Amino acid sequence: MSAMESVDVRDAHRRDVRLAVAAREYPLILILGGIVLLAFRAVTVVLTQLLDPARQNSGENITYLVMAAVLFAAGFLLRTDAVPVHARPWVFALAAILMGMGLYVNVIFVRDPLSFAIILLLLCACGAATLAWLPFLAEAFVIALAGLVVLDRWPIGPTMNWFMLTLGAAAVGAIILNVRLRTVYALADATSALQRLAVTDQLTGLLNRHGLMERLPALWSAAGRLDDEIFVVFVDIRGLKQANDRYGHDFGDRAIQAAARSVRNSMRAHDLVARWGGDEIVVIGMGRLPEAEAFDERLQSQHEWTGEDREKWVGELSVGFAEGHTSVDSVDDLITRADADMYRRRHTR
Amino acid sequence: MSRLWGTPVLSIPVDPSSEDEPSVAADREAVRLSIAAGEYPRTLLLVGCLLLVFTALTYLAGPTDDLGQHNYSIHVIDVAVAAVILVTAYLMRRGTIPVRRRPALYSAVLTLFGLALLYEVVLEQTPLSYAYAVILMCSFGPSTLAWRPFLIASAVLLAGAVAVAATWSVGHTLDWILVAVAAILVSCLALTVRMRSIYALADATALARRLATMDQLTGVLNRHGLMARVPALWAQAERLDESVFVVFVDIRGLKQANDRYGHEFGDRAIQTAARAVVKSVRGGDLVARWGGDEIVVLGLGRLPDAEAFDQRLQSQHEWTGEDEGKWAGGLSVGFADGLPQTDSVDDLIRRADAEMYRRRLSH
Repeated sequence: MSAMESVDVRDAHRRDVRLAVAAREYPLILILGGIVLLAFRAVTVVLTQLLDPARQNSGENITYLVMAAVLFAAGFLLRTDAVPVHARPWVFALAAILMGMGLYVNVIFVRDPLSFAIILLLLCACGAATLAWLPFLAEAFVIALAGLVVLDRWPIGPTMNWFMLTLGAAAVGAIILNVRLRTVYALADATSALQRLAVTDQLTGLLNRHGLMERLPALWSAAGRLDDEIFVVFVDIRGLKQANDRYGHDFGDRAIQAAARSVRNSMRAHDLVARWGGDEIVVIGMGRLPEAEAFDERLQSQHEWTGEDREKWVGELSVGFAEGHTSVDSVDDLITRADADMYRRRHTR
Repeated sequence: MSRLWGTPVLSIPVDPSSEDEPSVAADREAVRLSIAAGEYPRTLLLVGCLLLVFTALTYLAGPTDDLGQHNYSIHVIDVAVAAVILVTAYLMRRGTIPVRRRPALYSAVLTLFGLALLYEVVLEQTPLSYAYAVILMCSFGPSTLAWRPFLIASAVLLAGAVAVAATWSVGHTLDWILVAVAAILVSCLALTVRMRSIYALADATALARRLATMDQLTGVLNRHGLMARVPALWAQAERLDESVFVVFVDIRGLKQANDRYGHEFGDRAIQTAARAVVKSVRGGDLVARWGGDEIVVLGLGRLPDAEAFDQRLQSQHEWTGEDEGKWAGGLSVGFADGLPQTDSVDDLIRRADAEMYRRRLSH
């Protein structure tokens, strides 16, 4: 896999995790936001009634109810699967914009800087909650632009300064969005590292048996589509057990690593190479079987022991081959046949 | 409410018994602090620069009071606060301040910023600076990444906001106080969602670390993981003046079973054996898969009684289901003990291995 491709894979995984986190959070934030909005309004109404009944404004209550209804509707919509995951940030952004417009209606009718301050809160909170740059920028742009229009026609104070406040809130929202995305991407990278670990043999870096089995269906279906053959190469590290007993497990580990390296280097990049058992390596690939003798030679020439290990033990690799067709052979059959072929070849030598 | 969150993003099963609570909390704490340590200087740098830019813009936008005169003291305060913020960012980036102190320092600097903004409200008598203070309160939580400093700072800022709103002549006191409260609520919510992602990240990295020292098939330690734990065990034994012991367990005839019934059967045999060993030892003993068919136990204290241990192990070693009766795979056991001062772990394991062979032949 080229570096370019792996960056693409990483970015795709990051996007998936980001959308998954967002899909999980949106309904909660919207519904909770609606509840907080209603509670906020209720407290304001009660306290105003107690302290200053003349200021009671029932028109404002209606806009608050409408805004809460929008948030609840969006929240419950996003709890269902009605909206595809990648479109959800835009639904969320739309709800935020509608709430902003509701607050502007209040600014216009009450001519009170208070509703404008709540718009600033909304912009900040959107930064933390939207989890997507384009929808957030769209929200900030629409709300700030509407703010400029409202401030110009229905001034509540020095227009330029209030507009700058909107920009300040959007900038703070962007900072929060940036740090949130960093955390979410770190989480995405950590989970993909975990997934990689689960399919990798730790000693050799090859696939482990589980990882091989996971990759097989894709290979099988590709071979079926192209009507191509499947081959299996079975490699056995001879005398590993004796070497382990005699020179210790660290030595044995180096022997396995050297064998894994040489098998990997003898195969094409897209062949699947896996550690099968303690001293066995299995290769599965698409196409014709490699020419047995030539492959064996290539493998042995790759299999280089270095330094002191070489003198201790001449680790040799025995190889067996099998090939078949996806429509008739199972992978277990092929591996068993390759294993048997390996034994046969070893004894005829 | 937890239902609303749906299924967690990270659904890798972790054996709860092997996960001790304090280490989870410590891992989370470490990840949180390290993320915070990286973010603080960046956030402060951005905030400081933004403040300077806004001060310049405000100056250019012209006077805000009715008399049409510049109120220079406000600009001076803004620039001074920006300087404090930028110096703190620089100190944090240089690493002068220990990581543990940073949340408190970060909160203190931003609280200072908030109080300065509130003081400007008193000077200027317009809601503008108050609105800036509200933005600050709203963004405090998600950037602080620590509950206590955030709550303390919010309490201070709220008290300041109440004092300012109660004394100024511009707006309706109550409304402005409620806005400040709403800002702090939004902050709490944002901090909660950030903490969730950070703890998920901490758990994932801890799990990755654990996987690297764990045998994937059986869930016990791998050789690397065992060796990494040896120095701590040896040091503990020396401190307590205790001996250390090794039990070497070999799964007899695994290779034949593999060849005859396939690797999946062999895998189950190894898992069964590992389970039996884990059940037969004490909780604090280290159990590791040593080679393909070997399991090593490392512990502190006197050697377990050989016959009793052997019996306990055999009684725990149970085959279930279809595998039962296929293969009479037995476990052979060998023992060795020694003192941490005189014996290395390699010696002890070699001796236990040899003893295992001796016992097997004499049986």
